[in-house]
Amino acid sequence: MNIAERITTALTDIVDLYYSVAETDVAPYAVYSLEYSESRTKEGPYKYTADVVIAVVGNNYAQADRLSKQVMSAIDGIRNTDLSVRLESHSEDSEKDAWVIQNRYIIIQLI
Amino acid sequence: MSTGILGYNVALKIGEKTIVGTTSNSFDIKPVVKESITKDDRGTKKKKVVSNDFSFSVDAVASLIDAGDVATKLGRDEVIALVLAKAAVDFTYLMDGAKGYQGSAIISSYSEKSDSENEVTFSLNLDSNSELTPIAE
Repeated sequence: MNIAERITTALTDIVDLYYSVAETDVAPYAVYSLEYSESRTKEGPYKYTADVVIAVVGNNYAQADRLSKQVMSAIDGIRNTDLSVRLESHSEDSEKDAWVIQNRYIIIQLI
Repeated sequence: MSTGILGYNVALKIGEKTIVGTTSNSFDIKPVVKESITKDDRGTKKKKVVSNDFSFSVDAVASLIDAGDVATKLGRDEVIALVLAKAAVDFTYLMDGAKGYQGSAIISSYSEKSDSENEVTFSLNLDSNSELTPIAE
């Protein structure tokens, strides 16, 4: 599985997940985005590095915080011998009646 | 008109095997110079190239190869085995569309690096143990 598939699989039972743009206004939900870069040996690609941002949106701070911690744990759980996960940054913000907790990861997958 | 050559067209083979995961190669030739001075030279040394030393280095991502590839490829374990064998190795240095070279070399160093996040890498250095012989095109 590629990095995106691993993320969506890991978060399936935790929160409604959307790529890039939320297709709902009803919290809680999460939105993720990925930017890939490729590294090559002389034979071809050997790893992908993904810059991944996951934003969890909750109706209140407690809900967003609880779901965000579950998401963090699940993302940490996709770590494997061929895949590393590093939490790069964490931010929390409130918008109108919603709380947004955003984590940015660097995920490296050897292929 | 001239044509550039992209780096992936260059390969160092040890025996008939390529080093899997190679990210860069370097090839250096260093002339061995003999200096002499006599009174007739009036203080200016004379220099003469008497031979050439050469060396290769390979940087690679450490890879484990399948049993089926052992005849044609060198992974991390096979490279270390070569180092420990202490024997000189035959090499072929190839560049697509250009002249290749072959000869014998000793493995002068092996260095492996690993950190907490990225892939394991290694560097291998080989020093000359023969003349550098062009391969007939």
